[in-house]
Amino acid sequence: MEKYNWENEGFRKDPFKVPEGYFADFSDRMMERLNQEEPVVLIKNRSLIGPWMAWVSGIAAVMVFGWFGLKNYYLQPLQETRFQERIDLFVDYYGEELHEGQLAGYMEDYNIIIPEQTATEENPIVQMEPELTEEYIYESVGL
Amino acid sequence: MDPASDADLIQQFRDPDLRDRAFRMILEKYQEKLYWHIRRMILVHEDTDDVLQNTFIKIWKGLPGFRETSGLFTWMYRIATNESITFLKARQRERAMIADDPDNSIKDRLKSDPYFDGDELFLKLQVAIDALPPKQKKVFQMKYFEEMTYEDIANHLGTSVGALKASYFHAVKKIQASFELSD
Repeated sequence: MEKYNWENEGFRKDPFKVPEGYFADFSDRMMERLNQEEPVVLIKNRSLIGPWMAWVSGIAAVMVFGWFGLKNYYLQPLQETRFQERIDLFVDYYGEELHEGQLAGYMEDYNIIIPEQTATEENPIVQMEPELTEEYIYESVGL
Repeated sequence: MDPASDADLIQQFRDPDLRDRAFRMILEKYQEKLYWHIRRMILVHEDTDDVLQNTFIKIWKGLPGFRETSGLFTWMYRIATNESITFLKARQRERAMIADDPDNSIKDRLKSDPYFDGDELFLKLQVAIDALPPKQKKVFQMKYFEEMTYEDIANHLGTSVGALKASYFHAVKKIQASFELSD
């Protein structure tokens, strides 16, 4: 250990440099690049629909409840299984690199909710479909 | 004028009229810190620049859904760490495909990087660090170069202090072995 002395303070001196003006220009370059990206989508709680659209809401509600019924009895078990499998794959891929807390943190940070809850007017939530959630997780961590 | 707080910046970002201005302020506030965190893992300036840009694109896209359950910088730091690890894994795969000598490869890249002026001994240390698994490399860089406490690292990475100590211990052992082997 003493022989190589790589733990001495000398190694802590940073031999890494940056081009002159790099940090001064970076924000301009970055903003220019971001303006070429797809516009950012703000995730907001669902707004209440105006009274003039009440009849549309009624029809939509019937369709949604119908869909949830179908989904709960026939499709959800299958989707949840696939969702869990994909999450397992995701965790396996990262192995020791990814702590469970990190995954939970991502899901929380990105407002991802596992499909079990239902949005109500008192407690509106943004709910993503399992397929979209998986895509979002993968994209968020660069997979 | 006092600099805007993170909470203010997030609030402003959510206003479409203020979004660009708020994000520019986030960039100016944190670009340097994130750059050096990434650079110590990636080593080469050009690659670091790419990873930093990708990190800020992820931040730009993710910020609308950020729920502030952690601090803004902690969240951005995690994204930068994950982007760096993704890059390092891709680089490892690339090296495996071209069947190159990984030690010489990183050594050559550093030597040809005009923004690196470390001596031979420092190069040797970097080659040893570069051979570590990504998690050990990350922990070693944060502890050794960034001189962070285990508690801070645990907070940033969402892992336990015990696991970090084990990772650092293994990293140090491997680096020592690498130095002894090349002597």
